[in-house]
Amino acid sequence: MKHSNSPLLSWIGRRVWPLVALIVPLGAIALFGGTGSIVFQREVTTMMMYMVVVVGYYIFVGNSGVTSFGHISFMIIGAYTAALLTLTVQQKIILLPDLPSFLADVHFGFVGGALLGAVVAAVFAAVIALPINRLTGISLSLAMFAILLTVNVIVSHWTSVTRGVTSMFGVPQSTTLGSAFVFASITIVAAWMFQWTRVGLRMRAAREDEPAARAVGISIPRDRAIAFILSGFFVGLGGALFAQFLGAFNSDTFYISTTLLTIAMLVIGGFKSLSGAVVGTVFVSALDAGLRRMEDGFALGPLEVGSRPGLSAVGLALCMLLVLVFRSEGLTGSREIPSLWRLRRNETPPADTLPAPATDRKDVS
Amino acid sequence: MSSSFIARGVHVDFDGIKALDDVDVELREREVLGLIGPNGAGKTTLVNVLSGFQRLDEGSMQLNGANVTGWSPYRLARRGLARTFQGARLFKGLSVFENVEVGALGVGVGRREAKARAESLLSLLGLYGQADMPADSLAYGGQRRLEIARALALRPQFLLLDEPAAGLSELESDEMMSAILDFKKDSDCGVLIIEHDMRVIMSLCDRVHVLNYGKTIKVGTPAEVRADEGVLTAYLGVGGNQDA
Repeated sequence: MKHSNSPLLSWIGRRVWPLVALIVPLGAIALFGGTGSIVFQREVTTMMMYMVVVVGYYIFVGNSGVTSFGHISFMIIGAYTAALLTLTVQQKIILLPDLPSFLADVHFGFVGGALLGAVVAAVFAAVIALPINRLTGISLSLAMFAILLTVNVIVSHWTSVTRGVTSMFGVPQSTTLGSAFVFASITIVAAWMFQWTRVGLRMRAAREDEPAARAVGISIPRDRAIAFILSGFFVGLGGALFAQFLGAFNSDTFYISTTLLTIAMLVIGGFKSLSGAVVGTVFVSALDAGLRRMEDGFALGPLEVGSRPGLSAVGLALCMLLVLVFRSEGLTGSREIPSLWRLRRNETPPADTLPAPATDRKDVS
Repeated sequence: MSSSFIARGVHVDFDGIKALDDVDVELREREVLGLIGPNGAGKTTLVNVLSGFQRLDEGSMQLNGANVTGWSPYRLARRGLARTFQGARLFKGLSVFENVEVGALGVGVGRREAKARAESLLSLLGLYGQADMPADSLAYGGQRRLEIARALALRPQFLLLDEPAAGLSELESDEMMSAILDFKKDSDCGVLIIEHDMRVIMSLCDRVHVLNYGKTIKVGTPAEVRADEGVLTAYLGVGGNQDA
């Protein structure tokens, strides 16, 4: 480990290096994915979009320590908003004849659709942020699950806008591996910057000890509400990217199984660190893709194993179980990538700030 | 006008058991008020009431003349009240430096100021060299000092210390008290301290408030309290608790 007295090098070592150490390997995966088959490219693109969702989910869950079972509701909102904004006016006349005119007459491109999908999800998050964040622990988790159920029911029955249980199709498939990687990187940078802001630091303090946090003046609901809205934005962005990748989806595309998959990604990686969110997403995506291929049957040496439907779901559940039992802080131990350089303050403090030796102090006895 | 933190007629019942019974307490600027009493006397309950963690069943609280009865802990902290807990409650996933920084950020100061406060307080409490270590990697004595540094980062008008020297060696206890005195030299902060070590109470405190079975039995100077028969009975009398 190098030693540095330079504040700049120290700052780079602590704040920039961990970010580089996450994004560069991700870029290498994207490059490698780009050279593979169409199926492999789609798998890597899917992983990048999940990265947006899981890191967005981490912004709230990782910093607050409170699990939400309903964040996928933001993904649903982002997906449908992006679909409604990127379908052409002609498509909407045919698919959604009863669509309100302010939606029927507008058309946005890929980036506009993605960002507005994220914004609408964030607005929805803002509406529910304060009441939801007055709750704590399992109450908040279940309240968010109730929100997910409610959003799913509304989407399933609001036929004039969402086509109800019928698939929304014809959405331009604009999300590419490259754009998904760019958005994943932006999300990682945003999450990293957020956790070093005043709000992020206060939230992580409250995650560790709520009474102690309140004793130093931290308004926990307010700080959580800010993270909740930011989290809603990025999970909504993930939904918007998925909508523009799949081209067709319905009310059940983003629901319970997506909820479980994203929770598995965060828990397996280590939910208290951004590195955990990133590593978990890569690991679970790879595992999921591998197991899905094995579902059609595979050979183990001379042993031929036939079709095993459900192998992926069982494998993920088993993996999560093993992590929870043997490594409850996840694969990364919920720690960030360590600094490259020894930190400035671990070295000798400035002479004028050195405390007096204990023996020189006033004797209070 | 000098600042003061006053609680009047405080009653707290736990399922019919009177934890605090008509207690009046006044904390003035620049003074150190010792809060003593046998185990179960209601000392920590009173600190919890004063810091907003325990709702009072009857009574009122005033901070610098403003009625703060029923205020939440975070609002009281932002009005200038800091506290420590009986067992060190740290933000264990954060570094030593961040623990103190958060103390300042919690009451709304800027990032630069929060860092400056953290640097100077870690130096004062002898923790500068461990600034980037995880808080839970400190030895117990270090954890207690860190908790006090975090409370001081609020630049409080009033500081409530719940047994800050519990579990420390005599040397560590002296170091901590010395640091508190160093801080007080440059501050108008009023300090309320719960402590079982009478050596600390008698040398550090300007006044001492004695509780027994949830009631105030004496308020006075250390000398007055030491000479009071009621106090001696509570501590040393027949059936009294002698651990204080």
